[in-house]
Amino acid sequence: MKELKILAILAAFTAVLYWGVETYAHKVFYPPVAPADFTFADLHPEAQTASEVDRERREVLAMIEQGDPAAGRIAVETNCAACHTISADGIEMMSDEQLIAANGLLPPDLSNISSLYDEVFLMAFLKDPAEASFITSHTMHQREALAEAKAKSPEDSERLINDHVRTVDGFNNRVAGFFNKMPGYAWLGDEELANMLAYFRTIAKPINEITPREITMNACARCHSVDYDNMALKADMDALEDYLGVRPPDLSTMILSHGGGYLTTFINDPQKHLLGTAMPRVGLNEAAQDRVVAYLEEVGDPNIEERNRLGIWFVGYFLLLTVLAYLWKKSEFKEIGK
Amino acid sequence: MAELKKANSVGEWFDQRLQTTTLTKVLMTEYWIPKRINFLWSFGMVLATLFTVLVITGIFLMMYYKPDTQLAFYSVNYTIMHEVAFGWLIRHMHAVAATLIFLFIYIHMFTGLYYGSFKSGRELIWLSGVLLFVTFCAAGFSGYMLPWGQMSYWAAAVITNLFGEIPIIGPELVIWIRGDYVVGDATLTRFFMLHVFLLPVVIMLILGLHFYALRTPHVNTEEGEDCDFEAEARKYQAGDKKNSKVMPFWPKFMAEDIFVMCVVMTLFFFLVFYGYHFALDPVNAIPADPMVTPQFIYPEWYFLWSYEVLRGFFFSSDLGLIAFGIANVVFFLFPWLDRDPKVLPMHKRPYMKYWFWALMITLVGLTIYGKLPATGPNAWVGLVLSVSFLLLVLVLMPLLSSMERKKREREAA
Amino acid sequence: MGFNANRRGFIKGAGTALGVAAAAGGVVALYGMKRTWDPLPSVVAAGITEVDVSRMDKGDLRRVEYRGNPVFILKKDEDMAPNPARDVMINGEPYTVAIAICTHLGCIPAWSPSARLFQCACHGGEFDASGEVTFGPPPRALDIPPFRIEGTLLVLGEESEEYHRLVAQA
Repeated sequence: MKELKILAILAAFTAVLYWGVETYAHKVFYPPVAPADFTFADLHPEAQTASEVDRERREVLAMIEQGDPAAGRIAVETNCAACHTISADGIEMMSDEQLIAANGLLPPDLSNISSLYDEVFLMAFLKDPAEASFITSHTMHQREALAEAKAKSPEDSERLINDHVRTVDGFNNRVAGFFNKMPGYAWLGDEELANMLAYFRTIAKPINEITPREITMNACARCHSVDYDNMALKADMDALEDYLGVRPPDLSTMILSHGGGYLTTFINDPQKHLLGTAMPRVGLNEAAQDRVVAYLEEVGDPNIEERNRLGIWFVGYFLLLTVLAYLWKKSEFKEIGK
Repeated sequence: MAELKKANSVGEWFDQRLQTTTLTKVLMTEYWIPKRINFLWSFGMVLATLFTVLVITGIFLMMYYKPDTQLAFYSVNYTIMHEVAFGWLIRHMHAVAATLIFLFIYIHMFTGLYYGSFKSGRELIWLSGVLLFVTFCAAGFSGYMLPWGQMSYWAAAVITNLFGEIPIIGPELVIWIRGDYVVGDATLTRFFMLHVFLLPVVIMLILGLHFYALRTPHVNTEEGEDCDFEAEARKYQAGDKKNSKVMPFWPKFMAEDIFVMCVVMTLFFFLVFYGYHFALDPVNAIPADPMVTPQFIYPEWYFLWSYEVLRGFFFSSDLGLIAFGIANVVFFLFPWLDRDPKVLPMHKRPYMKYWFWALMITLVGLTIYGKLPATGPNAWVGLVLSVSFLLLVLVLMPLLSSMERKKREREAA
Repeated sequence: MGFNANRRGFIKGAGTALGVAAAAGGVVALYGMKRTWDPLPSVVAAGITEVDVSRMDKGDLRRVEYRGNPVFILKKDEDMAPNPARDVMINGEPYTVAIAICTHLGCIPAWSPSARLFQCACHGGEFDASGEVTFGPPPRALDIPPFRIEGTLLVLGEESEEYHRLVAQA
């Protein structure tokens, strides 16, 4: 009995320590954020509730449904094919190498975009890429911080505002440089954009027929490499650094350093975790993004299956040894009355 | 040399040359251990087992690890974790054993403290044990640097920087320790040498001393009672095994030890497979980058309490450093800070029992706050805890123990 | 008898001498081992950064790397108050030379030309154009690296009287 009491005290102290240095500390370091939002509600600033967002989304989807793919194909050939390949439809005006040389990075192939990216997001993205990618939210948050600073010390606010506008402008210039390569197409009008998206629907493979590696390549590889799976960076790193201000990290060990939960909210909206990060929101739909995270897990932590399979045997074997050791101890101690 | 008779068996052949029969008696069957002990007495062998696990897994890791700043991260995270058969298992075992060994060292140490096994003839057991603790800390620190992730690099930078605060020689000393102005390739290779060779050898030597130091004063009991080991051993050998207060190391004491070892190894392998995250910090899965400071830098959990003593005096880095210095050597002084020579477990000591649990709670508190950012109210909590720790060990320990001695002497008179 | 006593004394003396010689050898060996751990010549050579400041205009800021750390070199213009305790005079003109690491918790501050301040993004510390703290938690001004001046050449990593003078005033 006394030994059980000692064990309970040990267990209690160990549990408090574990809670403190792991559970609690992690909560302090990484405060929880809102879950990933695959309706991209912020694209509908007028909508107040989830159902209103849903209604607006269905309107956009209905437009695409009614779009004319043939007209869309012509619009895509005119507006997109200079920088993007569409291998599924044989549209390849330049090789990948030429495209990287011309743009600093490889604009993604458009064959499967309607299976991979949220179509409502794509619609918004075509109209204003910087806004939809959330790059501008950096500016937004800076302005909020400024309003706060202003309230605190009015006399300094003038200088603060000038400074921050400078940094924000610098950032926006950089981002503008990046997005000059992908201009907005709002001038085409909703109907023409819907035609284009209708066309993309006709050529896209269903998501189940696209490998997670292909999805990751399409969505991530123009800024990130995945060394452990020989996925090369589809860009010139120095040019990227000029655009973004940082060298984007390799993704091989991301699943270990950040974990699947973080990646899910982070890819969905990078600004949520890293305010001001240069990483854009790419607008993957839920199924595609889950596959990207699953792919990163497969690359970064390939032993899950073996671990789970072997673990049972190891733990079971030592449980058996424990039982045998207990019986032996009993028999040895019987003789000495302990 | 006496005339040699022809040996009748292999055992006899060895006995003639190595006195194996006598050796077995001295080390095993006639090495007497008191019966009034509990499972906490088995943690010594548990630690020896985990150390063996570390040595064996370490040997295998060394075959693929490359101590070079350009190659280290890849050799650990790709070669060992992805390519080597069971490489991931070996690395998990090494990491989990390294973390658990500190938990069990603390339990083992505080068992000694609780039952009074650190004074009155047992000082050298305690001193060699604390020396082992310090050497293990050095081994843990040097090993943590090897994967060359962000936390490896920045923990190494912050901790080696501490030496820079030493007056006069500090800045030069830091450069000398690193072999470079910043933590770099020279630092990595020399810490690799320390981790895989020098420190393990030193640990093995001190372990020998630690075991040997136990022999003359004998193992303490749960109640701190004195026991005439020779008389009790004679009683045991005469056949009165039930009434003798002692039992032989082999097989009786080891029967208990092996049972506890099996329980611990079951837990160990459960953690290796299903709960290893606490031993492999996620931040360390990002390659080291001297130009990017991680958002939060913290040492491994077993350094946190002394790290918090260092940070606790947030208004003066000199005071913090002095307190940190005290925290790192104060355990060596425990046999003399306890002013009552009588060996008693804490629950039989009227004042020190409160002192013991206050110390435990302070250490847990320091450990938890040592990881949190030291800003706002955390800084003040850290200060209170640091001051409490210093008060407990430097003032209350001698004061309360001498009060106890006087009280006992008064009552006896 | 006398012979034997002498002989014993000689042996004792020889034993002591052997002990002393062995100890001396040990000390020399330890010194050699200490030297083995010193930074290598290549590392020491890489520990010196030479910067030619002749092309800098007033108000220009340069960030150079010195021993793995960033260092700011700012050529002061008329609007930046002179600070005799911190200004490094090169060719008769004042410069601010400082290790670009916030003395609070080691972040790298950014230079804001319009405010003429080094601002640390981590905890809001601010330093003026001379590197003195003007706001926030940093405990002291930005550190000045050891330097020596040769004409318009700023040599970081070597100490000079000028450097000692500035450090003494800090």
